Amino acid sequence: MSEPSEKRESASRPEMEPSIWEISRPGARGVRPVSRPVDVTDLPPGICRQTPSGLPELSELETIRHFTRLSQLSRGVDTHFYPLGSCTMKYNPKVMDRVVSLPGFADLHPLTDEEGMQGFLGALWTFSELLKEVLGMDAVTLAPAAGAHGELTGILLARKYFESRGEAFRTEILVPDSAHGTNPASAAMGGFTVRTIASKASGHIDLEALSASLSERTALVMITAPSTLGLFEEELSEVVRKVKAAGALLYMDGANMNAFLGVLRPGDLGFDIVHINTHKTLATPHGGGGPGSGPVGVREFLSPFLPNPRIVRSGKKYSVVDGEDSIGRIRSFHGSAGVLLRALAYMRMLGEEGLKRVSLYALLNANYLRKKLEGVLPGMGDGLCTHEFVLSARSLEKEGVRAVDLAKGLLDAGYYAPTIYFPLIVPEALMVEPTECESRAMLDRFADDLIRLVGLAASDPDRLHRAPEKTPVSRPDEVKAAREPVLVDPLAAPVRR
Amino acid sequence: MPENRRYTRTHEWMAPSDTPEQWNVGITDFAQKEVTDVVFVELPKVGRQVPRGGEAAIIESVKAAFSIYAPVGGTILGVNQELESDPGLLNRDPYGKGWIFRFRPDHSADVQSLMDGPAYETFLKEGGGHPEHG
Amino acid sequence: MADFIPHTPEETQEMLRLVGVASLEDLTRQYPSAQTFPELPLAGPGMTERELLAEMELWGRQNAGSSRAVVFRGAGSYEHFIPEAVHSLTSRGEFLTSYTPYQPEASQGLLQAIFEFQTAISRLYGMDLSNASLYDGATAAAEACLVAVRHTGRSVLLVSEGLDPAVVSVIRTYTTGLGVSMRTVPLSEGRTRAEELRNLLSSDVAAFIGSIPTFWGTVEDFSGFREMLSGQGALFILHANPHSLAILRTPGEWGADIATGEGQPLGVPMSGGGPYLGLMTASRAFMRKIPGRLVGQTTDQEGRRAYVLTLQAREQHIRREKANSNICSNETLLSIGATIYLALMGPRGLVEAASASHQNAMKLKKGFSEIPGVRVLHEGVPHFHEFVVELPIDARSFSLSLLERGYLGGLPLAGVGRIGGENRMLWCATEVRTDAEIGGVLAAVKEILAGGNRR
Repeated sequence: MSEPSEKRESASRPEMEPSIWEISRPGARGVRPVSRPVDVTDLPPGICRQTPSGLPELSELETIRHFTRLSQLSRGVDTHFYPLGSCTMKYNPKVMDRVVSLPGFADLHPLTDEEGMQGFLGALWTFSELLKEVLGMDAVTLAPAAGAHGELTGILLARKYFESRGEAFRTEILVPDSAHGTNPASAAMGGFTVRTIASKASGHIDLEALSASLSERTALVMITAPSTLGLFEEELSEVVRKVKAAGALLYMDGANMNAFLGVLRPGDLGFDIVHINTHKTLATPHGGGGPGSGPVGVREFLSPFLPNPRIVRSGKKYSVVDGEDSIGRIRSFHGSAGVLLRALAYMRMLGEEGLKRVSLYALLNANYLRKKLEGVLPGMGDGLCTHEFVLSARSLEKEGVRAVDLAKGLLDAGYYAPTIYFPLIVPEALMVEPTECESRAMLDRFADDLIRLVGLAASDPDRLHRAPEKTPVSRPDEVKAAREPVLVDPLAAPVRR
Repeated sequence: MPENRRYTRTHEWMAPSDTPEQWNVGITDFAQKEVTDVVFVELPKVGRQVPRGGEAAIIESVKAAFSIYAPVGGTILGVNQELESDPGLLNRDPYGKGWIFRFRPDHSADVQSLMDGPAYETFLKEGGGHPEHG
Repeated sequence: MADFIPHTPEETQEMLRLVGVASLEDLTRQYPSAQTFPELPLAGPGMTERELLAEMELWGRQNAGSSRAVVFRGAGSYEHFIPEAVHSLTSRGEFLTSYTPYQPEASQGLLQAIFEFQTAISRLYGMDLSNASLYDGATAAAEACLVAVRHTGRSVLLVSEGLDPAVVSVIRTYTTGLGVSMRTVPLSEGRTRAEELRNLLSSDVAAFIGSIPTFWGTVEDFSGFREMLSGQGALFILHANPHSLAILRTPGEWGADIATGEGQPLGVPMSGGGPYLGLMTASRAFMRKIPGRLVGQTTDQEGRRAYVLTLQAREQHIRREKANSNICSNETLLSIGATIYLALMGPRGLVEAASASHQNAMKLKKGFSEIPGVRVLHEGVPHFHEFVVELPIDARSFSLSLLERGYLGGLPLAGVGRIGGENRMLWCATEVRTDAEIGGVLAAVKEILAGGNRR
């Protein structure tokens, strides 16, 4: 008979860190920016700040301890296996951090005269050339700050392209129902109407549904390859044919490129526009949610419309130019150079063979893990999967256990949980992407732990409902957080307006 | 299931309000269970005209957003302000205090085309659709 | 060749056997065979860490970074003092290599850091709340304009001539295809005249967006703007440099509805232009209208303080085409760096730095005003830490001459709007500049003007 829940209150939860405003006290100081402070007396009071900022006051050591402890209350790839599907949480090589702190990079002003930026422009130009080759595209923009930003860029490119051909009547973008939410959101931001194409039960694109939605009003069809279910479209060439026949362009969401980096090129597959997420496929650190970057590759006919500014080479000299037919600027300066240089470093270190091995081992690890979990939870697709696979926890419904419970159990087992409840078309979805960087031992351990947790669903489901028990908090009340949002620290002084 | 109401296949109900020619609209118990805890209701602007099946309001849970459609074409005449401070009302009392908006149908005859109580019950038993995500 | 793949050949073979294929290449049979394994000659043979660093060092040496040329250029990217601790703390693997905190229990530290960022930025800007960051200041300003358009249902944006032209360009790109038109509210002598705004205001206007300070370095007086705009049902948006808000009147104090900014001055190195940090703050009324992630404080099952991503139903993964924006990844690591910067500096450190920036810039400005043939624009108008000068010669070649002497001088303003010009430059001095450096650059300026362009 199980013990009453009160007794099981775990004494082993790590403590939460106090709010920085709790540690703050008037008069405490951290660093001093200048040795001789000056007073400003020549600005009229009417344009000067009158209310105090209410920012926290603490000593340097207190700040160091506070944020060090906050980092210890988080999990990263450096500390945990992080099988978040479609996020490609691979190892971020430390040498890349060194690269961006070399003299001439971190300390470079973005509007330095061209003559003083040749190394910077040359490195970015080289990176573009590498991307062109790997993506099989004719031109690249490095401007987008993230994958979704890349999507918006691609959509604006399509818009300008069709306008230039007198086809502004193309006002629709088609998106499969399995797509990541950024796809339709980007389309709407670009001023297009979104039409959703239903997928087949297998998760693949329904060609008939596609045909029914294609028309002379279609500007763009957005495909994720492999799909968000980790499946490569078996009828991709047919999709390409239909889209071209309708006079529309084909966009590839490259979030899943880890499945075929160096092995397949989107350009060769028939795509007109593709974005790649450097913080996924090219190993730049995720940073807790950014910064990333989302370079976009395009076919030659779209090149005139690429965002400003562009880096061009003439002989041995690199220059910055604006294109007459450009869609304009999509952000300040050139791009997230600190991220792009890391991605360049990654590609240079790996080389041709290394890039291929990334995909081959990403495929191996995913298929191996999926095989180990065969029969434990139903999955999508027969045969091989690509770099990730989807399982459904629907079969545990009768025990009252859901995907979220398994995820919380995995947190206790010392992992970061896989993506849950995405893609939307799979009920109680768990999307698992191990990446090529994990060892076999880690995959075996993870499989064993997941099997054990699924077993718990039958033998002791309450245990799973109580998970996680080893984290500082458990199952925060998200309903309360949404009904009564507290978005600033109650301990910080209120703003007087 | 309360009497005198009409129901849609998208789980809205319509009931006569105190004012003649005006009806209150809300969602059924089945729908509020599917939505789970309501955290926010995006209410329509008063005076707005909506066609039959047009999106009139949006209900948000923590993880999803659901569209609420006008059962028949009409004009929005009032909204339930209480839902702004207490969205949970929709879950607790979906047929009463959790009403969402009040409106005047363009053609009162349209109302009769909707399902009545027994028809809605049958619809649910036969696996009637889940509320659509907005 | 580097690899980062841990498998031994034996492990690989055993795993292939379990999967049921003979070789790694067999795993690609699900791909169209005609297109697999293209040649990638540019990619090269791969490199060791040493070889890589040597190659990147070569690129780096060809750049005039701040260690080689003293920085007197701003225009949206600034050299500021960054305490060492910012870099060391944001290099910690738990922060650097984590991702979006979708599993709150495993990410409380990260969520709390972002929550403290939201609080700190909202307080700095004098506004009710802040989001967890956007890509950069320019896209933040563009997104704020989109909020105004959606909220009011109107299609005209009044954009101050004081806004950074690059930011204006991004707003233009973002409003393409949405039926929105932009009108410039001109400056006179570096400031907006209330009558100019009044003349352009109509019931079509969704918002006016102004800048603190202006791109040209002047500080505006926005008295009466809030009342004028809300009288017409239009939004008041201010785009503000966070470094300047230590001493300048804040968007909150001016009554802004939404305030955006570029967070690069808060502990982010210039980095050749990115990644940077988009800031967006707003009054409570716009809480559900703004884009970007939001971290909220709540309690868990046992009443403990806990942090979660909240109000997610505005976002793309739920609302899809009806979302407030398509943004997913943002600039989290830099936002944590900014919070650490603000904590290390504290309110007094921020005031000291901003005051020193102002004083240094005013010293530099005075120096210019004493050079015959050089005119400082917008005399008599308050400036923060940037100002425009007009030279008797072409600014671009002047800039190159300065660079040769080890100075990154003011930004040449050829073709930059009405206030720009071929002979004009935008100069900047921050708290890191010394009297010797200021004296040095002024001497170099005089020398170049006296001796012509010695190239």
